[in-house]
Amino acid sequence: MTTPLLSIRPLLSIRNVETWYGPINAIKGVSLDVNEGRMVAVLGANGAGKTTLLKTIAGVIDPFKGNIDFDGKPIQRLDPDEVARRGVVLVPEGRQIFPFLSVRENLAMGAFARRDKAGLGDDLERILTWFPRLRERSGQEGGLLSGGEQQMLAIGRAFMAKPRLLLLDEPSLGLSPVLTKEIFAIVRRINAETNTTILVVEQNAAIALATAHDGYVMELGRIVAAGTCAELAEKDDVKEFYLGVAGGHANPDGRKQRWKRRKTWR
Amino acid sequence: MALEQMPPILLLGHDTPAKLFRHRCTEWADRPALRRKQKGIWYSVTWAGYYERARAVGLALADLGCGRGDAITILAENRPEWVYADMGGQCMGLVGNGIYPTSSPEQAEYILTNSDSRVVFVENDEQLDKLLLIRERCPALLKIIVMDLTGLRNFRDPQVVSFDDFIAHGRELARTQAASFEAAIDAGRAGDVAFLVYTSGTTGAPKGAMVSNRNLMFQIGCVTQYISIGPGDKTLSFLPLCHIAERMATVFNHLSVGMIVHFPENSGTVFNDIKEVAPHLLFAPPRFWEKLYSQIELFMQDSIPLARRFYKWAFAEGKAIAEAKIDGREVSGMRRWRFKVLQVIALSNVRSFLGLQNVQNALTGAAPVPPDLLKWYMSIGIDLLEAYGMTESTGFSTATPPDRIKIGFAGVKALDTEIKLGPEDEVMIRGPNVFMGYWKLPEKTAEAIDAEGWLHTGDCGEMDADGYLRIKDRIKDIIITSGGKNITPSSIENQLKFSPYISDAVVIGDGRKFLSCLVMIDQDNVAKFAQDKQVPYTDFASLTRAPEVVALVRYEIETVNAKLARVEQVKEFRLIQELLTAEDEELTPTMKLKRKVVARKYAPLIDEMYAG
Repeated sequence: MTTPLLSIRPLLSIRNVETWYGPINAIKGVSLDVNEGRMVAVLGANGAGKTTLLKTIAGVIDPFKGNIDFDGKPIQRLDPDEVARRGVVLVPEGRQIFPFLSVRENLAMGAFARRDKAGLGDDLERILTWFPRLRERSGQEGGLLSGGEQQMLAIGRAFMAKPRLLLLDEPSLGLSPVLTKEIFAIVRRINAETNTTILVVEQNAAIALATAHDGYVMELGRIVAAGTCAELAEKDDVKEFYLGVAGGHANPDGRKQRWKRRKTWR
Repeated sequence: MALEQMPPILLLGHDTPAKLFRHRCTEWADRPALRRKQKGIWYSVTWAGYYERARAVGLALADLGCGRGDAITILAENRPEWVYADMGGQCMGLVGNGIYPTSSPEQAEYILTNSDSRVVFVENDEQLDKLLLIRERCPALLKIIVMDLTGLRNFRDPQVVSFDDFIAHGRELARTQAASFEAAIDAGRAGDVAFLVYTSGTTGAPKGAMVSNRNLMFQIGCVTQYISIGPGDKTLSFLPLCHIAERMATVFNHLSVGMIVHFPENSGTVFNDIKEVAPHLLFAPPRFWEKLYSQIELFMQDSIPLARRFYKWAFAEGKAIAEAKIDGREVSGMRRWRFKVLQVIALSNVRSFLGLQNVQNALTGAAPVPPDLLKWYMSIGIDLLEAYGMTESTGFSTATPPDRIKIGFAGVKALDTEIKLGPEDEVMIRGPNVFMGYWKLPEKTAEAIDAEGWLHTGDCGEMDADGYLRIKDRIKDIIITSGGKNITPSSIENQLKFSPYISDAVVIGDGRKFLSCLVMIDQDNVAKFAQDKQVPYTDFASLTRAPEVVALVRYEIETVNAKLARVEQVKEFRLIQELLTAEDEELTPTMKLKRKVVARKYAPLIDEMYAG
C-alpha cells in the first residue's frame, strides 16, 4: 500500500498544476508535496514533464491552473527572481553557469540577492569544503571546467543564494557514473548538514531512489506512482521500467526480454 | 436430424466458405480486400493477393504434415497474417482457433493441448515467449510461426519459423502444387468443422465451440438482413478476432458484401484509426460506444459557449426526432428541415470528430446495452442498432431492423430460425445458426443443445407481440435478495455504466439484505474531473480514495437509483482501487468485469459494505 504523501503542512505543496506550451499540455494535473528537510526525487522518462514542473515551481513558466504554495504562501505566477528571493532556487538542466566569469565570481553571483552579508563567507567556505575541486580552480573561468565541475559549480552557486528549497534539474546529465554518484552524495550531504529541502528531477532512477527519501514517478504529465523511495523501489513497474531489473518471468532460454509488458503502477 | 443429412446452404452455388472465398477472389480479383496500417502508412492487399497468400499458407501447412481435421492456432492481435493463416487453413480443411493476445501462458497451453493444435502462429516476441514456456507440454505441436521478428534477429530455434519464410516456402510449393490446394477446397463439406471458438469460460475451463461450414454459410447469407453496406465500403477490424463477432465481421461478412477491411496499427491506435478510416459499418460492444460518447460529453464541457449552445439545441432537436421515431410517430417537415440545418452546423462536426461521418450501419451487442446510450446516438443522427448473439449461435441470432427500432430490445430473429422462451424464461434458439457442439465434450454439448435441437442460451429474456427479444440477464447471475426479490443486476449495471465516470460496475446482493456495487472508475474522465475541480491526487489508488471522487460516484449512483424501484436501488458501493488491465483475471479480454472473479477477489471489500 502506498503511503499518502500529501500532508498537512508541507514546505512546498503543489495542487493540480497544469502547464501548457501553446497548444501542448505538458503537465496535465500534478499534485505533490515536499516536506521540510526531505530530499524528494521526481522520476520520469523524456517528455514526462519533469523539467516543466521545476520551471513552473521556479516561476519561469506560469501554470495554467492549480496552486503552488511555498511555506504556506502561494508562489504561482510570481516572477522567478521573487520566487528565488523567497528561498526556492533552481539549478537548471545543463548547469548554465557563466562561462566567462571565474569560479569565485560565479559563486558570488549566486549570492546576488542576499541581504545577510554576514553568513556569506561561511557559506562560501562550506561550498569549497564540499567541492574541493572548486577551491582548486577558484580563479579559473567557469567555461574551462569539466562537466562534473560545472555541475558542482551550479549547485554551489545555487547554495550561495541560501535556499530553503533547492530544485535540481537532472544533475546527472552528461556525467560519468562515478561523477554522478559523487554529486548525489554531496547533494545528500548538503541536505543532511544544512537541513536544506531538496527536490531533484532525475532520469537515473537507481541513483535517485538510492539517495532521496521520497519519490514520485511522472509519465506524460501525470503522477503515476508515489511513495517513499524504498516503497517505490519495490514496485514491479519501477523495477522493470526504471531500474532495468528483468520482469516477473525470465525467458526460458535466457534471452533478454525485448518486449515491454504494460505498466499498471500497482 | 443428423448434421450430415441436413441440406447444404448454397450461396452463389457454393456450400462452404472456402469455395465462396475462391469465387470472390476471382470475381473481385483486382479490388482491394484488406488494408493494414504500418508505421503510419496504409498498405492494400487485393482479393487476388489475399487468395495467393492464403494458398501459400495453406500449402505450407500441408507440407508440414497438417491433414484435414487437424487444428491450428493463432495467437495475435488483428492483422492480415491472422486471416491469411485462418483462410489458408480453412481451405485445406484444417480447424483453426484463436487465443486472446492477453492470455497467460497457462491459458494458451490449455487451448493448444485441448485442440491438439499442430501449428501455432504467434504475433511477436512477447507471444513467442509464452509458447517457449509451454511447448514441451504441447506434444502435438510441430511448428511455431512468428509474424513479427522485431527483437528476434539472433534468435534461432529449430521449431520456430518466421511468417515470411513460411509463406515464401508456400509460394514455392504453389508453383507445382496449386492444384492440390484447389482440390482441398473442393473436398470441403458443408458438415465439416470450420473453426473452433473457445468460450471465455467464467466458470471452469474454456470450451471449444465447433462452428460448421453450414453454420457459416447460413450466417453469410443473413448478413444483408442487417447490413446495407456494399463493395468498396470500409470497416475496421479492431475487436479480438478470437471472438465470434469480429471473426464473422472480418472474415465472413467480407465474403458477402466485399467491403475493405482495415487493420489498425495496434490496439492502442484504434480511436485514431477510426477517424482516419471513417468506416461505413461499425460493430462494437456497448463499452466502446460509451467511450466515444463520453469523449464528446467531456469535450463539449471545454468548448466555447456558442458551440455548446448549438450542440445543446441540435441535440435536443435530434432527441425529439429520435423519440418520435422510437414511438413510431410522424415528424413534421418543418422540424425535419430545422434538424437538417442544425446537423450541418453542429452534429456533423461531432460525427466527424468521432470518425462516424460515413457510418451507415452502427451495431452493438455482445453485452447488455444501456438504453440512454442508444438514444444519445439516435439524437446525433446515428441509429445504433442492438443485436444479440453468442458463440454457440455463430454470432448474431437477433438483430434490430433499421426501420423499426425498439429501445431495450435486441431485435427480431433471423429468417429461418426459431426462438422461444423456455423454463425460467430462458432464451432458446433453433436453426441453421446453432453450432455443432463443444470439441471433445459430448456431455457439455448435450447440456447446450437438447434432443429437439434447441440451443439453451442461459440468458433470461422476454418477447413482445412483434417478436422483439429483450435480454434481461444471464440466468445464473440473477440476484435473489434475502427479502426474496429477484433482481437482474445487468440492467442496473448498464444504467450505472452510462455515466462517463463509471467504466464498469458489478452489482452484488445475492442472499443479502440490500444491493451494493463495486465500481471501476474511468481513469481518463475521473482524472479530468479531479483536475477541473482541483482535487489533489497522485496515483490511481489515491484518485479512488479522494472524497470528491467518492462523492461524484455516489451522485452518479443516486441519479440511477432515482429511476429504479426501491428494492433495486444500490445502497452501498466501493471503488476498485487498482487500475485493471486486460491481463488481470478480473477483466474479460473485452474489458468487462467478471462477476464471479470480482466477488471472490474483493470479498473483504464486499463484506465491509454489509458489516454496518
